[in-house]
Amino acid sequence: MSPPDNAIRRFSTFEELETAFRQRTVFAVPRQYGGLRRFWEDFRQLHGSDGMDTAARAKTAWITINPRDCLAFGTAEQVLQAAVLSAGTVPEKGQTTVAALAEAYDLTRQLSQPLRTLSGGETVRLALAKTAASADQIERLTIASPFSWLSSEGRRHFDRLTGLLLNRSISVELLTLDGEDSLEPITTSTAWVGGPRFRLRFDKAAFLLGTPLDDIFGRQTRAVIADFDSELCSPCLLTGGNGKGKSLVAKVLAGAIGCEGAVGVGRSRASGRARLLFQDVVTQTLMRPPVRLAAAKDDMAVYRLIRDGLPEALRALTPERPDRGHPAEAQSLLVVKMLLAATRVSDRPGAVILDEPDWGLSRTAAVGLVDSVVAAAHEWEVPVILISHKPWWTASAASQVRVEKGISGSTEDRVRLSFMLQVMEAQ
Amino acid sequence: MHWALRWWILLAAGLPAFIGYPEGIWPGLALQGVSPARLTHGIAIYVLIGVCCGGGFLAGAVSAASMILLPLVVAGAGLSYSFHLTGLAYPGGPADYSPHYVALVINMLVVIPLALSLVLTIPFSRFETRLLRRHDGVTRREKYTLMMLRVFNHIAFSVIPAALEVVREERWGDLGRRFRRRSRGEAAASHRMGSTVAGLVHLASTCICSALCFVPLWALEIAGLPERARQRQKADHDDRNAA
Repeated sequence: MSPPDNAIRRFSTFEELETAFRQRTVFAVPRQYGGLRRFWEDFRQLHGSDGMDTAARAKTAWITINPRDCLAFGTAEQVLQAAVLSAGTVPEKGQTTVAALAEAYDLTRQLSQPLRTLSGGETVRLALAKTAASADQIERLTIASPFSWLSSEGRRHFDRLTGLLLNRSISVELLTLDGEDSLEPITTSTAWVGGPRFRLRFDKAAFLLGTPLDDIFGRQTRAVIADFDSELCSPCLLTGGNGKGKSLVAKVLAGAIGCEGAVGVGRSRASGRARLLFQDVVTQTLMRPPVRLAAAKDDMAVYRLIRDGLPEALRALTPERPDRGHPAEAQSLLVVKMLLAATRVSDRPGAVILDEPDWGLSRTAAVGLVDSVVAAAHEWEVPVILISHKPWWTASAASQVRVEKGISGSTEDRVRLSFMLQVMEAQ
Repeated sequence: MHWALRWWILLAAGLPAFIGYPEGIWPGLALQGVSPARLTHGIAIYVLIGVCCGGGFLAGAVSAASMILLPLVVAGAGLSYSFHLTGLAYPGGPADYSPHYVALVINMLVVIPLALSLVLTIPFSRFETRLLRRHDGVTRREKYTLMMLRVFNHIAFSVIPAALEVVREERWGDLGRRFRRRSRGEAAASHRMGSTVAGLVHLASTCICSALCFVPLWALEIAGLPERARQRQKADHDDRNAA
């Protein structure tokens, strides 16, 4: 069951949504976007007398726009255990309840995984499961922008939770970005036609999931990407459901995850590396000073190309010269994405990967931004790879590759996870 | 290997590094200011850490040790040289103080990875899970323990890996390559160098912010865990007595 229409509030920008969300919920995490000054202001406030009182806090549940920000523990099992413990479930059935929650929200195989390694959709499901555990204690749930993370298959979990809460007369408030929940494909843009052809290659690619600390305790998982060598046309859509490994493959291509074997993408011999825009650009920018463009010509030239390609309404929201004098808090999420895209395209990498580029943007802004970045990249002869679980781009992409995840039981070389890429037929 | 066995082996083998080396065992100098015994012990410790904790861990620990000691040694040596130039100390010049800094580098390169391996070999995440598996609630002391474990595990398993991913994607480790780049022109290369250094410096401060960011949220959730019945009864009993 979905929340009633009067419980859904729609916003045109990430900043408006975040402000409204913080007004409605417990102010428990300082803002990580907009620079260090804003971060420390928020942090000091959290230790002050502002915010809800304890009784009100206990009756309010919330799921943040980045779902990791509302989960206090390190693994999925710990989050659910704490939720069950706080809910006061009958002790001898506590463990069963954790298992039952995990099964209900398709998290059984993810229980022991660190939160950081869960996909966005899995993290949202975990937040939903945690809320379900505390359904007896809460009076209200506020959720921000879950559809940026949940695939269409995952929406049934969201509907299950809202149905459970509404049946108990618990109010559910959904804050979303305009058009975020749409499943309609976008119309084909001329910018997407005639893009550069490029080669994507994986040859005996293998990597370790986890940290060196996990290796000490024998917890590192070895993963392989099945051999793949194909010529594709830009923009290429890398698609698949939640938790199938799309972002992992992107990070391997971009070198963010170290990898054995041969991995390459590029126009000639696929010997280059990709540059990547994370889905969560807030984490990617790491609260650093405003993203700056190089004094040299290239970054600014690409930024101008991207800006000029935006629809007029969006262009009015972006500065012509995002250089010195613009503090971090003045840089909106849209502008940060444009700046990150400009710095990456100007590097002329083997490809630029946009991981779920619609995150934090309304549908109009997302389509306008992606259109503009693709056009600018093609003008610089840089291939573009889009990653998305949404069907928005399927009709427009020049080529599509589907990512699937398998689990191997081989003990010879401890392979546990395998990722397969498959070129999809053009629609 | 069980973590406790690993820990005791590292502690026993590494004890000379913390309490001082038996320098007299092997007379002479391997390097200026460094005895053969100290150097051999250092190499043996590295082998032991590699065997007990893995090569990846050892590489990370050595990197961390290098990042800590480099500014100290460079700044210290610079200060010593300025003393020599001004005549305040070290009349013999760098030959007077270089053995001290060589010994300092070797010492830190051994002690820091050893300390890291002793701390990080303890499975703190398992302790966290075990505390939360209790069905009868959590004592106040356990809540404080949970909080400390949370901070540690968050830094070790979330902050540092996330930062490393960003560094790798930004290629901030390629300082040498940027020095040699000529294809995009000097202005672009020097800007990239400048932004790389600035980025690495800022990375340190944002790692601190990332480590602290969720402390209020953890405090909220951990405080909300139910107290164990025995402690609640004691608290009620104390209240009645006071009344």
